Amino acid sequence: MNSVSLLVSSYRHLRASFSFATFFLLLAHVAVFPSSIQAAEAAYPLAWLAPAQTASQLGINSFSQSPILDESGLPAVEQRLPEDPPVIFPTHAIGSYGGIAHIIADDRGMFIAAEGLFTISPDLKTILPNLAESWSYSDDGLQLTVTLRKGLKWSDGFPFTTEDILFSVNDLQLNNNFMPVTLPDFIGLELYAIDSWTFVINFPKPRPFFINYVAQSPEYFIMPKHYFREFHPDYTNPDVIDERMEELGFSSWSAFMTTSMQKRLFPDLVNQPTMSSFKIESLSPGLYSYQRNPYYFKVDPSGQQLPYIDAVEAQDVRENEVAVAKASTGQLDFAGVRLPTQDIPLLKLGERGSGIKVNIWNRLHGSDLSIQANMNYKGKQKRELFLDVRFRRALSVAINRDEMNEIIYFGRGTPRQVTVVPGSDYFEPEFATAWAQYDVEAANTLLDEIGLHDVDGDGIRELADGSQLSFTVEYVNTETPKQISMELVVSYWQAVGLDARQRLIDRELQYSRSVSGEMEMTVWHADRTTDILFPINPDFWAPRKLAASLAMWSEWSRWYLTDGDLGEEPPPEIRQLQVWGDELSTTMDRERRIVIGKLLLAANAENLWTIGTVGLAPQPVVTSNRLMNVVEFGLWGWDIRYTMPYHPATWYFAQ
Amino acid sequence: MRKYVIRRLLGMIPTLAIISILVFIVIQLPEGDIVTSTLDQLSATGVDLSDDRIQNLRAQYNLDQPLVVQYLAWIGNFITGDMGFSYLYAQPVNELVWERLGYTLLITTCALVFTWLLALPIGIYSAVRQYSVADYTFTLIGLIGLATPNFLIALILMYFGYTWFGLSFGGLFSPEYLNVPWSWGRFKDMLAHLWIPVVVIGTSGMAITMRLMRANLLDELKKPYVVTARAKGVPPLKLLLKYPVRIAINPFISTIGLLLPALISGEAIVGVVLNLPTTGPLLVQSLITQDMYLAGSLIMMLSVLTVVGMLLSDLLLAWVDPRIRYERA
Repeated sequence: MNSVSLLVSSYRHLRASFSFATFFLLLAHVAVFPSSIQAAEAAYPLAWLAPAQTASQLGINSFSQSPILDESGLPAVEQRLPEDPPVIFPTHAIGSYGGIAHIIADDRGMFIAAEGLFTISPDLKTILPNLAESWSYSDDGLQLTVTLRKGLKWSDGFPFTTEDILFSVNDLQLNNNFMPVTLPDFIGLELYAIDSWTFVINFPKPRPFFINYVAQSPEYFIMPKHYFREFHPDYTNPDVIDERMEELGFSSWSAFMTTSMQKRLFPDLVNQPTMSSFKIESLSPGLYSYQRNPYYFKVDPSGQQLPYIDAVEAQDVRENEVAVAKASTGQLDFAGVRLPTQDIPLLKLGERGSGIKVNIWNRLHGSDLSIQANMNYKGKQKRELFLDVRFRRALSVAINRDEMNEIIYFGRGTPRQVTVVPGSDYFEPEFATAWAQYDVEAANTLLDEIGLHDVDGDGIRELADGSQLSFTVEYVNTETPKQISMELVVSYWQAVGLDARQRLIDRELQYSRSVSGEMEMTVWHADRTTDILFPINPDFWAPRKLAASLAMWSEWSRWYLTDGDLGEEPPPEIRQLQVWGDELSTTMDRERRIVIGKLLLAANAENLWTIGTVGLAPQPVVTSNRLMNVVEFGLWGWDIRYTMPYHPATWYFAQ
Repeated sequence: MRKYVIRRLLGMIPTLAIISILVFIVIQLPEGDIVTSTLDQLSATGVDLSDDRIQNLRAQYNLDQPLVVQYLAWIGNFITGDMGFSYLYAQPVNELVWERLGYTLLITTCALVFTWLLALPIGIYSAVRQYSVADYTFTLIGLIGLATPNFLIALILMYFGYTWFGLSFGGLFSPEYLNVPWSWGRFKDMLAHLWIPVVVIGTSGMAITMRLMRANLLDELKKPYVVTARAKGVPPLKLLLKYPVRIAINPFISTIGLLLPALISGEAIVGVVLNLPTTGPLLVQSLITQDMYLAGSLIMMLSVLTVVGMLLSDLLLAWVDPRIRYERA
């Protein structure tokens, strides 16, 4: 075991300093700067921005199916489709059926978009109907009524009804045996069905953004009852379930159910019905095969049932280097999630002759880095320092964001603070630019004002009482290019006389040390910055949550979450943030909502609870030249589930 | 002889018991557990690593029980052949391991044969022609193989495999053969991919084998019995192979035992880089994510193989080299 873990760690170290891209470029003898990368203007079909019209509205009354289904013995396509299927307009052209798409397993969530009751518009704001046909809130926001499309069917042909929604929420999320700790979004919910197509949710307080949550996390709301009731003790004899669990190897039915809900790749998945465009057909070590879902509910404007592509083969690739190599040599029809920004030049190189197209999308991270100084740190001197707004401002203006943008992002990112994306209703330009200028002089002045002077002349500032000052940024190098960024940031801080150090830590440590407030400083990435998730969870702007991503105010959050039993009572201006945060997610008054959202963001721009570097970074999305209807420019991020607004079901292979 | 074997076998029981306890404790030592690390993997796709989710998952996975209870449950099942459940892959460990063991054995055996077929003759040649140009050349190549990290060789070979032979990156099969029943075409396709891991794993062991053989043989070649035999006119090749080589090869036999555990863990890093459907990547992943039962069971398998391998080595050595007698032991 020793030798193995030693190998692993030495391998990781070596790998850190050596990427496949570097190597590839060495062999290729050319280093191409991606001069052709341009953030193209977003252009989407207008139909994507509004609720999808249905077949009857467009006068479509004959439907067709993929030829591979012709001999399948299934009911006719008209019977498999819902009564009035939604029509999805492809972005370029009506497609034709056929083909197998090769992707890597991590991209399956992007190639096969999640289907839920609602979906998200490419404007990053609007929630649109999907499995649900319509919904309405009561005026006080305490009641939500949702109507499903009629005649929807699971991939095994079983009807999809309100029974499934009730099962997912009442029997799972609100069941204490399944969820000992109810998730905050579900607390106090009452859900009942009026008929097979209409259900009502009563909230304890107004929840105008509940639909955002449902749209963005569809998995929690649609579990096929007819399949999972056999695994649920309320419906099936527990002894029988235990026996089944024994067979499958799970410790409990709830562990099984959670694994299913997370869509993890495990053997029983092949039996589980889905509403998505593809259904998993087989799993073997290294390969997951999907077939088209013959009951998928969407059609194109010519009445063809979607998706166009017949099958997806997802290979298990665990190394970014291998994913990049596969993508750049044209072995994948679609790739995104495993492609780092730094490898854009290499991928562009692959455009010559490998039959691929490298689209440069923008990541939805408000900032790739959210630098967090722990204002609840246990050491008194450092806590006071981190609490001092002048210190945080000095840290911010000492950073040369333009240089970072050039070095790391080929100048294609946007230097900005941690705030919402530009198109947001809550956005003001100064939220992004406040204290984001590069001004060493100002940084020095601020640090001098605090009383941090270089007393002993070694070029490093000491604390006001003359004692040593050094602080460590502990972080995990994940998702965004944090390590290369922090190397620059630390050097900027050292240039203004701060003894800053950095340390890469293990993922688990990030969580436990963040939640217990033990880190001096850390770095995360600022996602949840669109109008879809910001109003529900303004996490970076108000201390209302304990998580690995939020290390700057764990004790204030704990105080909030335990109603004052634990943690520390926040000072009034912080308490105000929590009050605003609560109001933001509950007020039905749109004007008021925007005012509060802006107040929260303005408070951060002023106080820099967390410091940003560069956001809206370029994200390579590689597609095969044969794969059609993929938008050239999109936004890439969790808030919109990556490709959900861009309709992957309309992608097809050119003949 | 039988008594000796039985005694050795009995001695294994306390050894393995202690190992199992150590393994279990060591895996648990680092911060966090499988729940935080699976959630963390999911958080790469955006699920938040928040307190409430973690508590729920711990309860669902029975991870809130005391360590002793978890240990006893695991080891009890392990003895009966049930290696528990991998949280990471949401599958019983037995299934996971068995479906990968075949490929692992295939690759490591081929690599071993590859190493020995090349390294032993080269080692002999280097010893006989000490300080010749060929000796230096082979030594240099061997040392390069030893000094270059395996994964780098793997990446380079993958690159050339792609540019020269049009092989797909990683894996043991081309995409079209990944999920079809065995056929002649699939077998050929596998052979086309197999050489990369075999060469990569083989080269790392090559230098050591080569140098060991060379050093051992050099020791023997200087001994009086060789000189005598040569003076008496024994043909050089027959002399070489019949006496000094037989003796010089002993140390390899005594290390055969160590090859058994390497069958499972040897190709770990290469397996990850090359996307091989083998047990090595399982071991790495399970250790990183603290997937307790999977990691624990794999390491226990390694330990059992090590202990058994050592016994086999001792027996083999006694059989090959009559000078070593086991009766006394």
